[in-house]
Amino acid sequence: MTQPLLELCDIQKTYALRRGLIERFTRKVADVAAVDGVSLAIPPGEIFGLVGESGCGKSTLAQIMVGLLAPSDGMVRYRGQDIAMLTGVHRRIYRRGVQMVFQDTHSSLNPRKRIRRTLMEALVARGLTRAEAADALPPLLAQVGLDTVLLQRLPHELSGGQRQRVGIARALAIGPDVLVADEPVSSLDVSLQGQIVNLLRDLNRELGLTIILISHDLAVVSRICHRIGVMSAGRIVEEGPPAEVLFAPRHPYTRTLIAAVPRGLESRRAQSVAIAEVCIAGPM
Amino acid sequence: MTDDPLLRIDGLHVAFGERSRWHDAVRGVDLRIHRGEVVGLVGESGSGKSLTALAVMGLLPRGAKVSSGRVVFDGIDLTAPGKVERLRGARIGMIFQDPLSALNPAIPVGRQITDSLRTHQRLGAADARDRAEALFDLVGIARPRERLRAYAHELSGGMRQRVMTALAVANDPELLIADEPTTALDVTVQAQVMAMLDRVRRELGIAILFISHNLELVAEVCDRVSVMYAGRVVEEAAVETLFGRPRHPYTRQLLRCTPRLDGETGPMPTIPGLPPRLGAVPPGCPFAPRCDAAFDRCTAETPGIWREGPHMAVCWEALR
Repeated sequence: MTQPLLELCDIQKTYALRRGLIERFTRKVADVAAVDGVSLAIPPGEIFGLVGESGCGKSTLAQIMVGLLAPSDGMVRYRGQDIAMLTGVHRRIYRRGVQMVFQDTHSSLNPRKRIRRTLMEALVARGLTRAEAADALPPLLAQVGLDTVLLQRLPHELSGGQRQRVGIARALAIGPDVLVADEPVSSLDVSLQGQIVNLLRDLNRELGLTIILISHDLAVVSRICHRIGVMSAGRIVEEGPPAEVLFAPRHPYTRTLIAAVPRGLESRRAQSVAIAEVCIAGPM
Repeated sequence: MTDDPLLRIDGLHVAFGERSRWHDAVRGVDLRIHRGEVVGLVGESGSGKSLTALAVMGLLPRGAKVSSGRVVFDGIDLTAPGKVERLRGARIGMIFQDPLSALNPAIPVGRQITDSLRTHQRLGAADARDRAEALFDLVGIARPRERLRAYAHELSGGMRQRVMTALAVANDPELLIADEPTTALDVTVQAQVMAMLDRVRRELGIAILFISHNLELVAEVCDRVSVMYAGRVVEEAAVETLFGRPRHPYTRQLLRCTPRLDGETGPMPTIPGLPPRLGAVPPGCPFAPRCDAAFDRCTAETPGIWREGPHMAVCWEALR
């Protein structure tokens, strides 16, 4: 097997539970594990789908992968090297190599910057001169299926789907080989979800981009991923190719997730109440 | 079921703008909901489905107004001034996509329900508390007595939506308007909320207007479905008919791109292009530029209405 591009080794992330003043003095403050021992190896060129509910730790894991958060324990390796040990130029190569696409395009794009400026800044950050960056803009937009007319617009003047394409273009502008996309389609209409998911698939096929696609929707993820990891309570409870995870799920939690996907008329007959009973109770 | 619908919307137009520049975002919606019936309203963002609901409740945002048409609830014209305020929260309940912004952050959730019960039904404190507990039980909140004391921010998204629903049905409304109630939730929590809504409907016999962009979800609970595009209802049918024999190409294309767990891989089916922008609706059929079945008449003439019993589609292709 080729060397994994990105590797997570027994990642832990714990947060101290903030209690009231008295509890803090009288009792030991309890820790909560957001990520509880996750190991993953992502080979180059793979689309890996990470599925799970809110609070399962998948977004925390995403932030650890791109270096926005440091793990409490464990190691992230990029091209075989522990990212915590990287310095100078090696650290910059990692930072550039692993980019993130966010769910909420309202808060992840600066509302006061025109699209041109947002993208130019990313291209300049990659090391291009302003002239080179200006030349790089049209092909960058073409890659994500946007018209150059949009460069003059502000984020609020774009549709949700267009904003998400800008978010992807900004990540691509840095020249990454890994894209970590955290719920990139969950705030979009069904008719637009497909467009964004297909764009990610095209980028994977055409540029060989490695993608970690995080979503709570198995139906979306199973469509384009080579491998799926199902996450629950900070752990990956099941992992495998989509066909196996969907049609021969081993973990009860995976079965719950599968049962929860809306099936329209079919589940109307099967009676949806049954789903509620098997669902794992949330944290309140 | 009597012939008189509980809610009747006739030729509703909602316009956005200021002074002399007004653009219609809702362009002539007709809708009927009978007692105890669950009607789905489906469409993409910007199709006017939420505006239709907000117009019914008299909660249109600033800069929007009902420019023509009528909304009649049990014989009462809701577009007349001062009418809808009396019904809202009493005979018409509503739940929204974002329960956090709809609940008061500074008051325990139980208090919000008991306040509503004491105001509308003039219940005493003890009676109101008992009733609030029963409501929490109905919407599937475990340990209701404890949860009544919680604040909105202490609850999960699914729990907040349950609280919202308890609040919405507290005064035994005849109609519940649910605007994308599960869009912000995880699929597993969504399934729980859908089961909860189904239970509420069966136990209270309440009529529901269920608004969503997910057809599969709509099919789980609705008796009839209206599909909206660019401010108009383009197809309307009983749910089995709509899924079995959709006549409008938009409905067909929308059905095709709804994500399913069918083991299919490869590119997802999509609808090319975007819905028309406000004030830039093309002549003829507004869906024609994105339609896979359009022909020359579609871009030239406003489409005619195809009918077969209760099944309706506004489409030249259906009429061919």
